[in-house]
Amino acid sequence: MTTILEVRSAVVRYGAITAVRNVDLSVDRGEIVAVLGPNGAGKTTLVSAIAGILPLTQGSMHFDGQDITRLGIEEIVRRGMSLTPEGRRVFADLTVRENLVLGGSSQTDRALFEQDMQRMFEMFPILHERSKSPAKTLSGGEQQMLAIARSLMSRPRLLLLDEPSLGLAPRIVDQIFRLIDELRRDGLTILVVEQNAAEALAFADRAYVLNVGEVVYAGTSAEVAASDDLAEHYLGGQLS
Amino acid sequence: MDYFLQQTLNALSIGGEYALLALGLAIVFSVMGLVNFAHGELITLGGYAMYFTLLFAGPPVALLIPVCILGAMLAAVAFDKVAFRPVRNAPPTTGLLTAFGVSIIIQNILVIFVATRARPVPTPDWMRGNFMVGELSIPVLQVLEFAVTCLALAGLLLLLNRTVVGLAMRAAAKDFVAVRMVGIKANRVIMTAFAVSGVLAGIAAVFIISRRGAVDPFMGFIPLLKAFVACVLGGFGSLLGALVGGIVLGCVEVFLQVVLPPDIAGYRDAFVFLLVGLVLVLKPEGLVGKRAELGDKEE
Repeated sequence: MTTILEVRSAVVRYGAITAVRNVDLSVDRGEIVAVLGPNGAGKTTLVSAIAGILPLTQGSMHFDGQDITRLGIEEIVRRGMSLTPEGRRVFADLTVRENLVLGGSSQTDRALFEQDMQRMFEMFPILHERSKSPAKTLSGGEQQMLAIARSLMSRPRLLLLDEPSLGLAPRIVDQIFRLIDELRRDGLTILVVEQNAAEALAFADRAYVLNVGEVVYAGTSAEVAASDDLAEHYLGGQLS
Repeated sequence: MDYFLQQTLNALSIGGEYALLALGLAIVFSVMGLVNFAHGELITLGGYAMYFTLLFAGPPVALLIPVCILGAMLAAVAFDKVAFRPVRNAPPTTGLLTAFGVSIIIQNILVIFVATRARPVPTPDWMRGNFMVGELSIPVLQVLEFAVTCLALAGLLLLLNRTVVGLAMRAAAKDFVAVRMVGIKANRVIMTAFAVSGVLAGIAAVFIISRRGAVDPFMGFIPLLKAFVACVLGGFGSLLGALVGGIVLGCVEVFLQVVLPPDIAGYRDAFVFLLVGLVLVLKPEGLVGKRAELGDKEE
């Protein structure tokens, strides 16, 4: 397996606060990797830095063998890495279709763009149904699907998902995780940040456990799930 | 009847002009949170583009119209590139001060290198005449101004609803980072917003200058003030608000002009500002503004 994302010694500081300390992380092609940890562990900061939203204070990032440490968000998306942010952040006043149009705006081939749009509507029939409604009229789960579809419109090779289950009903959470599994079967590589450790470990191949900005454990999902110590200290108790 | 119709047309054309200016101000504000106090200088620069073209290239006068619009647009894009881009991530006050700085610099460059006094810019003859509808004599300029305002609005709506960069501008008004997350370059969105504000200011400038027949370095100030008032009146940050605010402001001004006795008509603007004050007290979000336009960023 080849490495698609390689993060070395990443440090992110906001003023005097160091939110991410010396994190090493790698993702191989075709994997699902989970980043777990309690609230405030630096998970969102880490994934935001990977996506180019926040600058790294120190360290380096390589995507597909190329140095992306200093690139801006826009350029990173164009290279094939797309973030579905925490809180979804769909374009509330725009229609579902318009959201997807913006998602696919880096696609220059008109035919491929239409094909992708069609594919999203097949994958998410509800988005097809509501394609002319403003995104703000969608339910939370529907907005999450729209946010993921919007990211997929740029044809990423690596999808970053930040807290996809946050604030959703358990039934919807299952649906979202099934979707993630389907995407993997289609060959997509996924890095997912989750507070919901049990759910995430059920489908991820490997996991990193973060606490106060540091990686306290990295291993296969089975190893993480089997460790009572990790569960008790960082992952909110029960894992299975 | 004749008089009433005449004044209605007057109100609509003035209102249209204010709306064009207010929309330009609002579009830049909604995208990047900057009140561009150098917006008036776009009018000035469009005007001087006409003046210099005439000076060095000569007639035909009708060709000056595209020159003015293009000049204002290029000036707006240049403001963004040279002045506003370097301070984009600075606190909002820095942007505001930069805008004042740009305004002062442009005015003084014109004072030093051209002249303090007004310079004549002719209006094409066909714009100055009147045409007859039955018994009524109607000025071409006013009808044209209202019609062009409507056309510009239609164009703006098409841009905002049918093009990727237009959709991105609407989306950026609420969450700029999310727009960048789909791979759309921030520079492109902001540059387009400035270009649009420049085109709208340029169109307004053609009409402003054809009324005054001349350009001077400080001519942009009053129109800027009106645009700002229109935005406040309608609700800052909302494009619909800018449009409504502009039309309302134009109508109120003409109405006051008509009803005020001649000896206090000079205080017209004081009455207008009193009204704006009242709106701010009674409905601080503006006539059609929603707080959501600005404050409701997605968490």
